[in-house]
Amino acid sequence: MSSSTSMGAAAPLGGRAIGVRVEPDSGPERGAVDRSPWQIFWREFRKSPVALAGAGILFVLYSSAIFADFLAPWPMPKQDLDFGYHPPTPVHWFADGRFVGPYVRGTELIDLGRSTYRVIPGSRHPIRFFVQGTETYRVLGLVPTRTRLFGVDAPGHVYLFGSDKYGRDTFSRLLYGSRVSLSIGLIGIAISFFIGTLVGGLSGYLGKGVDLVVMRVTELIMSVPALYLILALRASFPSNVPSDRMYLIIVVILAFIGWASLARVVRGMVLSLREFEYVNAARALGAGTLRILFRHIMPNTMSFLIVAATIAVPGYILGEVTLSFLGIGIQEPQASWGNMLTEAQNIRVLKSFPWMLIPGFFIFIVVLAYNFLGDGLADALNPRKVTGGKS
Amino acid sequence: MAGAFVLEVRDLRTHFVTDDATVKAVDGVSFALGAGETLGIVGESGCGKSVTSLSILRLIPNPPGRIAGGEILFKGTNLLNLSDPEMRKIRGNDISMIFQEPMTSLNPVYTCGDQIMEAVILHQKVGKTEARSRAIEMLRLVGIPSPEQRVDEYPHQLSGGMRQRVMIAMALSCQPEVLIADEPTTALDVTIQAQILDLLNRLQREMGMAILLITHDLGVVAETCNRVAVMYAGQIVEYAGVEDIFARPRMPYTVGLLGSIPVLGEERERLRVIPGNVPNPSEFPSGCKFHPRCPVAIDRCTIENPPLTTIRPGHEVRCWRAGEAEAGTLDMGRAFEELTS
Repeated sequence: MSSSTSMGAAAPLGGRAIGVRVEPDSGPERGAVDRSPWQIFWREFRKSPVALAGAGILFVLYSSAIFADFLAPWPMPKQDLDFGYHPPTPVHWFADGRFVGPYVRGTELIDLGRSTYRVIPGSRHPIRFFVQGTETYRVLGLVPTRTRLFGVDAPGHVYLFGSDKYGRDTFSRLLYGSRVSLSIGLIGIAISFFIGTLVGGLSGYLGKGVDLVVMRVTELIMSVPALYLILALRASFPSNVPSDRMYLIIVVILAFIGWASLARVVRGMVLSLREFEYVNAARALGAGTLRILFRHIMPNTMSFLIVAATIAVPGYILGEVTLSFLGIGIQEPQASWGNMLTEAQNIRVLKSFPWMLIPGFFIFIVVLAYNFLGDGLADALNPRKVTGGKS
Repeated sequence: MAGAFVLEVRDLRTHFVTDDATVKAVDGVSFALGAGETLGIVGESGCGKSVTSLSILRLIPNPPGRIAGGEILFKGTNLLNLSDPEMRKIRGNDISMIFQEPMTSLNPVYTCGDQIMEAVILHQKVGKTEARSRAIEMLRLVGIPSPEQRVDEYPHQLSGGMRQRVMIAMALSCQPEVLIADEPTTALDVTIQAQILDLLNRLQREMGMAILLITHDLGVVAETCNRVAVMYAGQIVEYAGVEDIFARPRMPYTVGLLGSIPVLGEERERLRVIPGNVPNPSEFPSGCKFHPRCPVAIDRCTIENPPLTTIRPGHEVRCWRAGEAEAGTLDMGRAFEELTS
């Protein structure tokens, strides 16, 4: 009985399987069914909503970093010492029950010591769009302009995310700081990726003495606690350097720490890949050492490396945050998410002015987004995944 | 130069050095290959066939492998004396190789076209467009339908037979004079095997190259080879024309191999086998290496390894009793029958 029912249920499946079978040498129409590797990748990647969300969040954040000048109502260094620790200003839309468009209320300081403010009743400062700012900047470094997305006329202030001790707009600084914090991850991973794959690849492929020396060096770097190594390296540079050069120093320090683990993994992969028959076949065709390594072996590690790099980016972002938080990274008045958090070290500040933690929230979001993206990439690039199945 | 050999191997010795012992995987192998000729190297697994073929292209991993002696003459030049860059110019251009596993011998991240083009670009000064049209031409030559389309496909999109055709196209793209085929049909099913062998035969006629065919399949040998070298434990034990090998084998090992092919229509309880195993290369027996498995071994076989001797023009055998078999006083086939019955 049971066997007959199960056979009945299996019949349509079996029929389809036969229909799907393709003769190996069937004609040109077969090519139309096949997809390019990119199409397969995209089809798999699309299946994961979490990974798509991660990619979307990162896209928005990186875009706003690029257009920070336009989106931020204030220039980065602008202070207003009369408005230190100003709370976020709510945006109002209605006045006296009528829609009047967005506006903020004026405030005045009532207690300098505790930084408490009072809303001035009846005051109304409309938020204007595409206002002309006081400073000229260049869009994408090319087109000079003074237009900013929004702003209010003096004497009003718009602090969407509140202000810091010096009355600087947290929202604007968050945007400017994202340029440093987000790009440091990409540049850092690019450098350590380059060193790591080169060193690891050569070490794995050449083997013998090269391998021995390189691996001992990576072990040395990995065995020293990363934070102490960072501090020691940082100490070897002068303490007062311009902020743009400081940025470079931090990237170099972080990449110097980061390449070792990558090199080890790449070495391991090359060790196994070099035994593949197609490597022998390439040698039998007359290919030289470097050609085999970089044309035949390394491309086969790419699907792994892309995922590894994506997962590693947050490490660099957090590295910058750590350095800046400790006061040895990006220096004021240059903004970065790390040095914006420096003020939040104080429990009194945190209790009275909780908006100072907003940069931390964005760090959290970015790290999470990168991890989601990495997970999605790992699934989509996994060659062993059964295509068409549910993840 | 008329009648000269394209490839001549003289007394090749390839050793693998391990902590415990030196393994003589190839121990004094000599053979010669004329233009347009096919030489089959036959033997059980582990007898040194593949090591011989890899030694010719100097692809033995070193360490632990090492070519300890001998000469490999390609048109009179000893390949063992060439520098690495000179050797790279020979590989793929003058001497090519196709491998056993078509499934793993193609790089999964490149299209078939890219991989065929690689050899052309490496060895000949041609541009990308020309290399590409060459790749398409090669795919057509090896009998792949709609090559203009296949050239952009990845290995995973092809069947095993198709991949082996792509491998052959790669190996032949520079029109080499010698093609080493290391068990080219082992991983394929029988109908595809026949197609691939036909293809190799046809290409050999069209391009006039010499083929060194490594195989353990005597059927493949009968179908394609002019001459056959039977290897056992790193040495050639019988070297003769293909008719002689099948009609008048004079080495007990060859006789045993031929006897172990099942005959259609013959009723038997069990398949005929050669008793015993191939000896471990690090502890070969003294004397003739085949004597522990040989049904006609005499005392002399346990002490002294026989030399390769010519018993008839073009037929060399390594056996003390080959003369008796040639004279008709010893029936080696019968000896095996009695042993297994």
